[in-house]
Amino acid sequence: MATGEQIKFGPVDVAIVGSGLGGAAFARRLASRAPRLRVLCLERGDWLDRANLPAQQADWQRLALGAWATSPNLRLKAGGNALSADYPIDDSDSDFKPLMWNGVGGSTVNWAAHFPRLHPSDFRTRTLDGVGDDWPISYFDLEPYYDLNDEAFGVSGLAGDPAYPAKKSRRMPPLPLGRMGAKAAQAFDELGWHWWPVDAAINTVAEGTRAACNHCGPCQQGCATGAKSSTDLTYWPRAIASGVELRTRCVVQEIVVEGGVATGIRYRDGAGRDCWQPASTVVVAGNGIGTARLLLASGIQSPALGRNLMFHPAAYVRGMFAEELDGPVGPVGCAVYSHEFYETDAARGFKRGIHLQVTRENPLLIQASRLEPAWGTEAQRLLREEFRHSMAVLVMAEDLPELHNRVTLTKETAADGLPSVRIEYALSRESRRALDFGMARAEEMLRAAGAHRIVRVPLAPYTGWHLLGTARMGSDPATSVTDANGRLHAVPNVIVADGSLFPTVGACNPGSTIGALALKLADALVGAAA
Amino acid sequence: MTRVLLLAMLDTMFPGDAGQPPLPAASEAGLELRTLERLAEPVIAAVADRDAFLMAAPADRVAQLRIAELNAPEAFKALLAEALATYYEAPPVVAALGWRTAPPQPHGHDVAPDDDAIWPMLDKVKARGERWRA
Repeated sequence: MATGEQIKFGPVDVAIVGSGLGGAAFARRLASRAPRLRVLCLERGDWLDRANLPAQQADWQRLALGAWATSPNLRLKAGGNALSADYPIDDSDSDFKPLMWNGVGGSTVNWAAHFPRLHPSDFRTRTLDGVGDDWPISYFDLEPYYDLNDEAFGVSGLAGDPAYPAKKSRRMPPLPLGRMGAKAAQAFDELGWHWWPVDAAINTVAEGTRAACNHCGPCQQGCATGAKSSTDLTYWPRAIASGVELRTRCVVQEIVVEGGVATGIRYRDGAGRDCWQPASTVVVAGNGIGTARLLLASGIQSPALGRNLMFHPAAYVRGMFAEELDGPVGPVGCAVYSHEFYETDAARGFKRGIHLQVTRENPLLIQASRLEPAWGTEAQRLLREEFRHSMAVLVMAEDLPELHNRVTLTKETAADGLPSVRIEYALSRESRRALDFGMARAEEMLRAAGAHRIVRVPLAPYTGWHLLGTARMGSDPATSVTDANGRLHAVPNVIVADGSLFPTVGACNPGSTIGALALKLADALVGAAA
Repeated sequence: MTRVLLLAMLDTMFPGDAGQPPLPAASEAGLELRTLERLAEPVIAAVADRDAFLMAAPADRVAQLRIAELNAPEAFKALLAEALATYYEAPPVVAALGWRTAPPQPHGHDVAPDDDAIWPMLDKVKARGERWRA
């Protein structure tokens, strides 16, 4: 609740909203390329306290299901998390539930740090396959920025993957595959399919103050050792040292636009005071939901704004094995992946492709909480059979843009002062076909690996990490929200710098591309100002 | 009465097994019951005949508890969530399932080093050539 008179700050050249991957990369690049610019970032949440994360506590699994859940709605239901300034999202009409972190580092705090790039074809889906839309930039336009972003994050992995144009050597060796990854690799090999160890933004070698990963498991509740890269550990220390100001607990209420030009930002600070921050350029990086919410709340008019919401449709196939596997030991999203079926093959009955990723399994309580039946003799028999004897394969399909999948505002005002937000998202028939195809392939691999029982999870609602497409890039203001440099068609001194920009999303994790794109957009801003 | 009924319900939910090592039933796992007692009250109220529940054979208890679950779904869900956490965090249960009670940090876990035979398999993947389209 705002009290008293408005606090007015001196003007800055660039005000960035959100300190996650896009905002942090943008800030760091600006600071290094144009050190004279006054750059400010407003972050609604707070810094992580690495000394008090769930991984250091005996009841960490309870915390992972409650105040440290990956879903902001679940965190709020559990009473909230003081470090993540969450807002409720009405997801009752969405097949996937949005996951995010609303503190310094954004969702890199609780991501799995799986760090693939998009494929070159992902930028040209209309031209190559007649679906979706082409990006206004190519993979090769972005390639040098992928390299820069990799350098900042310190990728572990193995160069030479033929699923991609050649990449530079990874700075660190790949994460160990473990029993589960090795078994999967052997099965992929037996089938003659593509497989490769994942690129992960996780240290396998200690660097500076950051340890090497010790395989503790709960990456998605924040990394206690700092082995997992997040922007509070990578971009921010350097950006701040270069003069960027990062103000926490500042909830942006509105980008103020006068005569088609943004003049600054009105926000509410941690003490509930109404603040005014003039800025020559405003950069918005609040993810595909937060960015659309703020732009809509600021009265930005653009037909595609909030529309074309994309996740990555996800399903799981789990195989049970007689022998003991790793269970929850190791980074949660990391072992091996296959892009055997990533590129379009019309004979499959759908366009575009799927990503298969062998992931670590659930810890004990979380695995027990997801059993069906949930209690009784049969539940305990299943748990005996599954715990540390199962392998999960994540099937992720490419989502394609559809106008009816969208972010909208409601008439209510949320506790943070902004209009409440709602998402509508329905899995398309095309995506369903892709997931079904992928589940069949995952089952084939698990059988080849020796699984004696298979469980399919045809739709995994709590996989809504990738919030994309709601302020897409393009050249036509009728069908896109920004130009190729992320500038709003409607208000050119407002730049979007997050996954909202993606015209299409490929079939694999977007973090690496979000960071690379933000670096490129920062260069474009510097170039325009020069 | 509440505690006796609660333990009977918990043993119905988590009867344990005779595996190696044996998994203890809820009443043998040394659970902290205070929170569960509070959450159990509306579920106990949904059990039609509490005396009969206590006297019933295990299979009949399951049937009666399922009816209580149908009659008080939200209360049962809340009780089950807390019961799962309490039971599967109990040291004897965790140990019986071959896991450890210490938190993930500071020690982390060991992962076996990769077998030397794994990486040469990638030569076959590379030999198939580029898989990307531009």
